[in-house]
Amino acid sequence: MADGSPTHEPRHLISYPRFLLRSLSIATDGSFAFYAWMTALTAVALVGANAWANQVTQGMITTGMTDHVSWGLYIANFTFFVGVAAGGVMMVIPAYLYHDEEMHDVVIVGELLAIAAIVVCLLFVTVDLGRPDRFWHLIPGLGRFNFPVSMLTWDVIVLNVYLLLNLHVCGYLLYMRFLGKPPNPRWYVPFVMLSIVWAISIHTVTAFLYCGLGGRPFWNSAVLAPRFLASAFVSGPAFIIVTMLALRRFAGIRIPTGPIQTLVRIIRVTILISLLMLVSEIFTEFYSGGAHTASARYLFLGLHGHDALVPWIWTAVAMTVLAAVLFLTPAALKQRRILILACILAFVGGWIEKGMGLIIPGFVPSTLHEIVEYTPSLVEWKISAGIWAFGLMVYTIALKFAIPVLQRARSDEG
Amino acid sequence: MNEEKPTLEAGSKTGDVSRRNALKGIGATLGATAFAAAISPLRNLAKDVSPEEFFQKHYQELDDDEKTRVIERLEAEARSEYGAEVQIRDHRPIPGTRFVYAINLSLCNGNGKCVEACHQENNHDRATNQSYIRVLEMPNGTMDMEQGNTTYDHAVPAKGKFYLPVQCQQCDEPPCTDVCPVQATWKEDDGIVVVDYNWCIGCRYCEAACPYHARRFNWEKPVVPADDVNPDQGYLSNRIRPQGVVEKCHFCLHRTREGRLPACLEACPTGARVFGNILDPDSDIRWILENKRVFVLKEELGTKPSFFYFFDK
Amino acid sequence: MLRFGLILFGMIVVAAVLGSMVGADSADSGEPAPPTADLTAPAHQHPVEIRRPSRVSGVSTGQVDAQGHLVTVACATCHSLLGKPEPQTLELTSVEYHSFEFAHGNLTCNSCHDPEAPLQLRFADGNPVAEEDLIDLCSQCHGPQRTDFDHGAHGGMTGYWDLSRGPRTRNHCVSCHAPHAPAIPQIRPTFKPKDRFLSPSPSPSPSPKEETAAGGSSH
Repeated sequence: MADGSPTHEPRHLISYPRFLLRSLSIATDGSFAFYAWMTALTAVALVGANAWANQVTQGMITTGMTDHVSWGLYIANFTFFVGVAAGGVMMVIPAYLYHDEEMHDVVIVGELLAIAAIVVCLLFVTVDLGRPDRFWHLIPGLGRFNFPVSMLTWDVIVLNVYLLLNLHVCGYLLYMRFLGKPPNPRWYVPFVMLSIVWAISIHTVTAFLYCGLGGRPFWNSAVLAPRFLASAFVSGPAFIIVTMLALRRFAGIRIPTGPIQTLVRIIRVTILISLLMLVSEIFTEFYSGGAHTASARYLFLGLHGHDALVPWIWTAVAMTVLAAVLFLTPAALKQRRILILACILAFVGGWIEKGMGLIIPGFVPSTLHEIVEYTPSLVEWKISAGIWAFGLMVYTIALKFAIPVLQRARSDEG
Repeated sequence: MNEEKPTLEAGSKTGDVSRRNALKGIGATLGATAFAAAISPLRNLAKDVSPEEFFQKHYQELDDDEKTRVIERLEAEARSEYGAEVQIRDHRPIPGTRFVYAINLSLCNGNGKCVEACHQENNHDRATNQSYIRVLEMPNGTMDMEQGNTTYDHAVPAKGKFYLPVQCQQCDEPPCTDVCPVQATWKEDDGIVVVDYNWCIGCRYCEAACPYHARRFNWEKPVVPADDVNPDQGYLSNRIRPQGVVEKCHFCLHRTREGRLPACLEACPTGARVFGNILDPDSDIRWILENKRVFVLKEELGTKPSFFYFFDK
Repeated sequence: MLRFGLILFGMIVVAAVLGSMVGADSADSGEPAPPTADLTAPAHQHPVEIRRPSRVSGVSTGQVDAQGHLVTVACATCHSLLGKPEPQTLELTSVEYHSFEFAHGNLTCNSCHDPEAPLQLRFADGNPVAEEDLIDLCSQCHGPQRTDFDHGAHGGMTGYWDLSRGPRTRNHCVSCHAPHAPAIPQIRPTFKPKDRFLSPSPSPSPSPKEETAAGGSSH
């Protein structure tokens, strides 16, 4: 339909909506398994939506949070998924910076993951608000945006811009495929480069949310932001590897092994850096001792008989160490099952460590050194599951319309 | 799905597509209906939040007429929801005042009357005994709060203990106001850090930032029987707070900005509490800062509290 | 009421101590100015009133008044302290007499009471104490506390911090300290936080699942 001549504005006005409509149509076509998967996710998401509506109406008394532990599962998940979003960019760096041709095929998998993860992040922040009806107070121009003093406003900016960047890059590439035109590098390469820098910024700013708080010694550590990044570049690629293997297995999509190998090599390095930083943190806390280490003692050893997080953190440490060992054993990784296991271990280990293991001990003991433990309530689990399900829906649909066209375009070219 | 190779290019088997589209339409309708049903509890919220409340501007942007209308609305809400006749006023700082508080830890015996007075004065939730003040029972010989205990329940003063009441320190460098993404909390000219309860979005970042556990969140709508409601209220202080917003000690500004002493001080039977205007060179508080060896909590954090502590002996 | 007539130290101190407490010309701690009505205070300043002590400790009659307070009577209601026993031999330090507890350091009755006229209080130098100067009697030994009192750092108060807007009422020494047993007794705090994490028994952490269920259902 497109003939390669420079496009005129009116044509976009017609063809762009058609592109969207067509995409929607393709994205919602599928096998029985696809519909079953989407129906299941919808059901979980609806349970979450209902739980959230109840939480908003009845108040956050329905959560397990208190004035002592005032952030919980939501902010823990938010923090982790910022990392996943940032980790998505690890597909982009080899593809565009090092011109890894094979990576180009699947780079969209990472960018779409970033989009889905950012959506998840924004939802987790929203459900953590006591007054979501006042959301507009956060909109610059309408409300009172406390920029640049509040790090939360920085986070709002970097997350939304990252979302827009990825939407633009993915949308542009797909639209050009739709038009049957080769994408013009001028319209996406600068944005890809920007998104690489931006991916680092989203996780750095998110770390600054916590490490800028002088009253919370557990977070008030310079290594927090680099640690966030290192763990993000483990969990993001781990998720993408599993996704690609799943696409190959369940959707029959041709996935070259090259990109998977590249990601494995990346994880091999980042998981070690991540562990190194964890060890540095633990050493600093425990060797020097003192009142500032109370949170770390609570997390790893238990404090005055309170030890709810101890089994969790040691599980996370064990998972991460085991994953590191597996990633460093190339022979074992050749078996796909082992690779998947290693990825899942790294992902879940990171989720525990950077979620509950990072957020909760910041509040235990409290700033008056009272020890109040936190356990998420059923409502919190429902809402979190609902958001995960919604994120997976977004990711599935996005992959659904992105992958086939790219595959096809590739085969056309080839 | 394996078999199909859907393409983005337009045009394909029309009959199949239309049947499919019809099914998709049904699915989408079902999904939307289910979603509407799932979030139906929000209707209750919509009933509670009037359009005037929803669109209410930030306190600092309200003009006098708007403030009057807002206050009338809030008083009407107190009447309809709590059955209480209340007077809400908008107290502004007295020019030339800067409030400072000090506590004599040699006198404080941990009786908790201040905690209770705060509870009653500030229309706190009854069931939780909510209060802006927490009193730590500390063993002599340490300032390590980890060894403190707020839930002591025995005759006081206990041997070998001293008592450390903590409330908002009204810092000169308040970390809580810095982190607020919507400027719902700020420090006023007389040193009091206030919250606009109708602007706060309830993110609780300030609660995480405060090093003194001074902030409280309304996890649910506070319950106060009509007879117990303190009708003498201020917009930025003790009016009954909505659900889902953060609140904190405001040095009883509805009293102190009228020249009165804060409720916690009046309730203190030991006279451990001293309150006043640090800009007045003849004030009691000034004498204490000049003649007692006062200290502040967590000085190393650089928050510069307006709240001092001292020992006599 | 008869009771009021019987109370030993029913002194009335309605003295403004502005001069020593809020005035710029505050007395130095060694020689506190007597708390008399301060005529030098600026006209717009409201007074600081010292709470009038309504009752002081005496001997219990074993009866309770309408408010549930123990009715006490002054020693001199029944006993003449004149002559016998000899004042010098009345070395009360910490004794219990008709359940009257005396625990005030090494003082004796005559440290403060004139043996010739027990209702009359006297300074250590023998000069009589006027009712409104009672705080000075205490200040003979409790100088630092007096200094703190004069600067609002000792003794409870109510009213206005800003005396240009309203008056202030201050506690008297004997509002809190019984003159014969001045140590403040232990009391039980009645108002404690009841945060929801405190309400269930503080048994060491049950399994996460149980706690979740409890937290969800109890509210």
